[in-house]
Amino acid sequence: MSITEETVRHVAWLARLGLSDEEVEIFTGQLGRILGYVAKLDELDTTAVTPTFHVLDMYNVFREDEPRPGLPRDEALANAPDASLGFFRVPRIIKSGAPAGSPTAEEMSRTSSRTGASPTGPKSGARTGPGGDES
Amino acid sequence: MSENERYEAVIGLEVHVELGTKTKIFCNCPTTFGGEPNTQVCPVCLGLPGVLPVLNEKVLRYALRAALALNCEVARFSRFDRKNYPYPDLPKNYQISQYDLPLARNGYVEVNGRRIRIKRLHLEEDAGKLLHEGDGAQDKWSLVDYNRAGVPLAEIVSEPDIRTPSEARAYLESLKAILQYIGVSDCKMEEGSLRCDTNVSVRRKGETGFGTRTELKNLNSFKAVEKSLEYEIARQISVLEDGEEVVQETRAWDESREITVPLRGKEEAHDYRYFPDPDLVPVVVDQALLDEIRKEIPELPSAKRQRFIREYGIPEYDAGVLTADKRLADFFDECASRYRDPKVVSNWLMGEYLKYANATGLSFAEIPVTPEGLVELLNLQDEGVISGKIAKTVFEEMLKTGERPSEIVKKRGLVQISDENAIYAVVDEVIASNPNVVRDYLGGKEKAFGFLVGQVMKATGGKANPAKVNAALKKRLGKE
Repeated sequence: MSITEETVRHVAWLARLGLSDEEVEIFTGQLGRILGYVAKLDELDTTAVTPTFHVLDMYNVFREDEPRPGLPRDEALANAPDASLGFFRVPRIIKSGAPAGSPTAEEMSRTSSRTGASPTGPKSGARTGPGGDES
Repeated sequence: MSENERYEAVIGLEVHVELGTKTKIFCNCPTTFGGEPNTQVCPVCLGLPGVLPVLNEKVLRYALRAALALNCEVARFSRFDRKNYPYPDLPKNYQISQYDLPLARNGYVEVNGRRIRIKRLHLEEDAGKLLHEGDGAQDKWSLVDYNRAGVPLAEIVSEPDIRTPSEARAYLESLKAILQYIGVSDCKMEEGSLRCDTNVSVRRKGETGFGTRTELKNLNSFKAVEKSLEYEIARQISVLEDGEEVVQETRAWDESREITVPLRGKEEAHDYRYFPDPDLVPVVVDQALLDEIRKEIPELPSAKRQRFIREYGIPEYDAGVLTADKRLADFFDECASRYRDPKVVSNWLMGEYLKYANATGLSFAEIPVTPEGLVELLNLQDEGVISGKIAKTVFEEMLKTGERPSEIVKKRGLVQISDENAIYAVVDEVIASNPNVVRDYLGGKEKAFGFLVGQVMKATGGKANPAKVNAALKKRLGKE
């Protein structure tokens, strides 16, 4: 099983990891070897084996629909890198300067299938989350 | 043949419905709407490390009820998957959803005699809400409220079976009515408990393949769904007529300008890296549970509509209007079963009652008048205690206060004047003070008679029995 540098860059982007060219090279080799090792399993004939849909042999674990208080707000926000007015505060992820009152990408993306949700490219070493422009 | 007639639209809807449970889908945080930001959160819905989400059983039962009411096949085995994407409204950087093993598939809704197929119904958690600090170009921040994160959603995806904007709206209305009837969601578009995205493409009539589609978002009302589709269909046709190609993209409905605009440039290929959520165990639904859930489903809108036509003999149109909302339908049902003429009940509800609801924006639950009250009012009118005109005045009061009609009539002295002496006294007065009109009438001007009746009604505050007023006037003027 061979992994290309392109695959590594793509996966790194999905995980919002900023990798240097050397790192891409290192991980391309390492990931390739790991997958190659696991590929040994392909030699087994599994045609008669039921697919495993879940690792646990359990199903239907439920909870009652009874409200209970969660965290006090101070505690909920305690570990946030930034907070304001009782909200978590994050870098704005849409292009600024949209006319007041016009719908934002976030407001639209909240409805659903998340097509509105993929931000553009990663910033190098961006651990603070996506910082690209949305529109 | 105009351009528009040579094309047809192909429309599919993705609807998200908030299920009306007390707590979130995977934790015990309350789902109440409008709480102070970040006061309905816990380690589970905030995605803190080491937590274990557990499915709310009520969520499953509600979703199963919806699946059965929408004629779906329920999967015996389904499970939850992680849909991965980083975005600040998502505390875990993934949304728990269902991917290749959804709870239900292959349903349908009957819309004006056409069957709109439902491709799938699955469960997922809602995301948080983003707000902006100010709206100037210099603002660099967004504020996040996670109260909504983890609120249970059922996503209902239709097949591309819808052909016109009005049919899309009718489908949504049917869906909303069904979900409200079975009590799984309040379906309030303005509070976001029902949200809709549409997919639309156009093709030449007679073609069977699909054109390139666009996805429309920011649809905050049924009207927006219909109007945005109308606009978008016309836009796509004119693009094709110009010899260009429709670009596959997501577009937003701009309510104020009534146009759709591209939401972002080139689409990123979606790559959500779905995989089974190892924190949640699979869901197995057996026949016994399905039988149990089936018993929870009440008479649905289409069945009720047919019954109203059959049992009460009201027109199909009335039955359609009255069954669009369960509360209204139940109100009618209760009145009609204890009043001699159901059509009269229907007229009052479709007239005065709906007019009042529309004018005030109140929901039916907020209007205090009861079925017993309306029936009592109609009886008072039948018995001649009050006139039809006064009945309307009394009903207006009932709509506001919910007071019994007999109380209102007593309190405000609205009892109809049927006493002949009293009526003749007023009639004589009116004749004496309108000699010219009387002369006109006697000279053959029929219209003048109406004026005189009006004067008598005015003098009695609308309380005089109209039939008796007519008779008295005619007699005095020598026409009887």
